[in-house]
Amino acid sequence: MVTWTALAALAYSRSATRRQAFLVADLVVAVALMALSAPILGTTVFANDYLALPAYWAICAPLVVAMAYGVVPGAITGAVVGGILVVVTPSLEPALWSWLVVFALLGAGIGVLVDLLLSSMGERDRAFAETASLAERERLNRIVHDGVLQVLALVEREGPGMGPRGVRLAALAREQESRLRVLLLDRSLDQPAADQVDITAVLDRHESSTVTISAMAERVMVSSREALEIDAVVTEILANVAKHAGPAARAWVLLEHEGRELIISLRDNGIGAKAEDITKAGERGHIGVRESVLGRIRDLGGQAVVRAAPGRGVDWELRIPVQ
Amino acid sequence: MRMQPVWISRRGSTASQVLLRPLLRVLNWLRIALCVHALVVNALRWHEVALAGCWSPP
Repeated sequence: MVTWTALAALAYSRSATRRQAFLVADLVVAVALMALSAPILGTTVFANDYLALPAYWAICAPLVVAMAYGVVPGAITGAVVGGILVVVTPSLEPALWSWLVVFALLGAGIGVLVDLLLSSMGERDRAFAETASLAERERLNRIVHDGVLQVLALVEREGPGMGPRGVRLAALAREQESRLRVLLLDRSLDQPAADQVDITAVLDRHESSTVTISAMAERVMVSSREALEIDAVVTEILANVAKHAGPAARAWVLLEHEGRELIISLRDNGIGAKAEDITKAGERGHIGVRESVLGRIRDLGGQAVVRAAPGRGVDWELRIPVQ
Repeated sequence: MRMQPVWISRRGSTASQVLLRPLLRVLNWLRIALCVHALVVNALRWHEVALAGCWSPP
């Protein structure tokens, strides 16, 4: 026991020797010493107080297991180490059974405690990282705003007075300014989990000189699969605006979250069309509308409604259920 | 349930590094203290064991 204590102290203090095999060996030693208690001490002496040969030393192995693997393995190994006394000396004596109960509870308790501490520390680390990334983004925002954005705004303002090439330059500056603003406001930097995505951050990326995105300030978390599908639908509708609504058309995207439903309204001020032409486009096999929009929304368990009239643009309303 | 010890599965996590190292150190001291306790307990009941004839001192 003394030798094993020294070995364990060395092994658990170094990450290279803190291995699964040593944990198993630790448990085997604890179980063996507990099992040898009655044969070594003699049944009479052992039955005086049911204090095992290693006494409470044997709990250390289940405690390491609880720290390493969590609640259930901690409880099970605690029950095994404590319960071996009942197996070797079968009796209904409460003092004997207490070993099993106490060791199992201690194993489970330490497992719960370590899991709680790990998750709360993980949360704290994430909060620190988020704060740091936001602070850095604000710092970059200030630098870019005072420099690049001012120059782009100047080109955009002065360009039209410089002839056709100036008009082109102004349009490019407007486009780049808008992209830069989207990049600076990118909310995807502080996503809390890889499998959950903030849909407002995803939609924000569509913002440009011809597309305006309006979303609520708070996050709306959806699964990454749902986010991909919603993004593809919005991309397709905006691509249709760019292709069919006319050169001067602008589009507006509004995101709302009502209860368990996500409502995305997409409106443009283009040349418009008859609503039945758009729905029939799907029936006629126009893959974009049929698969990219209607098919995806149907797969998400939602609904897509389109309203359109010649000269009054096209208005989509997408309703998607979310958790 | 984890398949590997937390200090391997969450090797990159600061939380596991910061938390587990001191906890294992505490556990090492606990093990030493409980070892001493077990030695004292067994030394105190040595004569009982010898009298019962189950264990003969060398």
